[in-house]
Amino acid sequence: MGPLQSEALHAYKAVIKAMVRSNKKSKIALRLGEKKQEIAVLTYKRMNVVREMNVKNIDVLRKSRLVRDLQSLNRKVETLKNSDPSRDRKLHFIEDSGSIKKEFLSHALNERNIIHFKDVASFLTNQREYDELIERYNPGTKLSQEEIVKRTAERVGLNVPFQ
Amino acid sequence: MPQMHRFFSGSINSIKTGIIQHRCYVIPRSSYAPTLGGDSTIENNLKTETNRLSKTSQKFWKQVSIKEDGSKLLMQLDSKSILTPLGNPIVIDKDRRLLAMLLQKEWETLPNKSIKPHLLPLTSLVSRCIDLESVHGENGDPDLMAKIGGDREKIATDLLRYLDTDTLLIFSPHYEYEGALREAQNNLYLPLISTVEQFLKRYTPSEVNLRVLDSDTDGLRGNSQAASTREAAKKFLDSLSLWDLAVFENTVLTSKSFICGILMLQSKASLKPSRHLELNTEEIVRAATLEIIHQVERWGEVEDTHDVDKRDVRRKLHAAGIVAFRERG
Repeated sequence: MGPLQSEALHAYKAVIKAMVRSNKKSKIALRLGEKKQEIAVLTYKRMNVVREMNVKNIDVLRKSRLVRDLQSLNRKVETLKNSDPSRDRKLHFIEDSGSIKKEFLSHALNERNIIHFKDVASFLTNQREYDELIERYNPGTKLSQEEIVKRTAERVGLNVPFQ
Repeated sequence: MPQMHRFFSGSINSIKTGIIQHRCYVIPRSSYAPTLGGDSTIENNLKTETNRLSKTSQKFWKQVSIKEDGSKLLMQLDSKSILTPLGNPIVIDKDRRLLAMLLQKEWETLPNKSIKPHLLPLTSLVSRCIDLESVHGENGDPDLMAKIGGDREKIATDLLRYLDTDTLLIFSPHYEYEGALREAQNNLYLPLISTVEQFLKRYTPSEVNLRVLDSDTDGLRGNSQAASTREAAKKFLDSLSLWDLAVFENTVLTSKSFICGILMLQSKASLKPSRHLELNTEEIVRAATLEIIHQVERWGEVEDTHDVDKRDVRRKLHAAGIVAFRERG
């Protein structure tokens, strides 16, 4: 492998690395949203099972099956609640590295293109770090509107009405 | 002499830390160069994806894709084209496929909640390029042109003022930083100035001499370029495509330097660059922030100021480089 090739490989790795890192935050956010939704669905199912169990004159066999259903639903909710999307191994990879590779290979192998790919990596890194710093120094900005309202109310000793 | 506004760089941030940057002249913000894909200056109710995003700050799509359309690439959200603030589809030439891919990544990596304007630097610059092209096209609407500050003449006049007080043309006095800053400026700026003079020479029959401001001898005075220099610089601006002009404008506004704009286009967009005008983006950043580098060395890095600005300049100039980039055949 010539020096140009190894430089190119270095630049490619830098781009992939920067992409993985800048994808991380949105992937975690996406997964958290999905998790919340799944838990809501399971909780609804559980409610239905409990309601059915409370019906009078229920068959013993049916009741035991419902108990089993309830247990399995409880287990699923527990595992979901305990799962931490930020520790997902998928975060260390990007799904469509093929298209990036293809794009990379479509460029001629010369110094200028390699520098440009390094610039792309640098762009992604600086963009991510900038965002992180803005968030660090302005902690209020990542709160949702409801959370802001809730905190404002609490500050003056009030509670937001339960919905 | 043109009216000049002298500010402390980084405005409030610098004042807060007690470190006053010595140079850096800022033309007061006019309505151009929107910071986000959305139009933040004037009320604009066109139904476009960029406006919807800037108004609701909510992610409303599932899939971002690139659709091939002849020699063009169309950016799409759930199979609907992404529109710029003026309602033009975001269309990228096929030879800028890398840019299209990065735009796709930009929209894909937005978090679900609370989307901030600064998360879409590429989209915002590309939108400006496309909107500029559209208002100068056959069916260009003069109202829309005024709305986005898209008048070419006006842009050129505003940008030319940066050449008077270019970051690369103002030299610090020798007594500051034991002469270290001045020495670095001499080493870095002087060769660049003479190559830029050579470069501008081809746009005018007369000599081009860039007037510099030497704080040792000139003290506190303004700086302005000779009429022939301005004329050459104006001709250079007129020779740019609208796409490149938008990139140039963005670079100049970020670096406060007309010369840095020339360097950026020569390095990234030009297919036949002039000798010695090709610099890495990192080198351009260094030239534009040389004084701050020395300040940080002397006084230390101030939280929430230097660290943020450092990334900000880089992400903006890299974005300009990525939008401008053309592969040389």
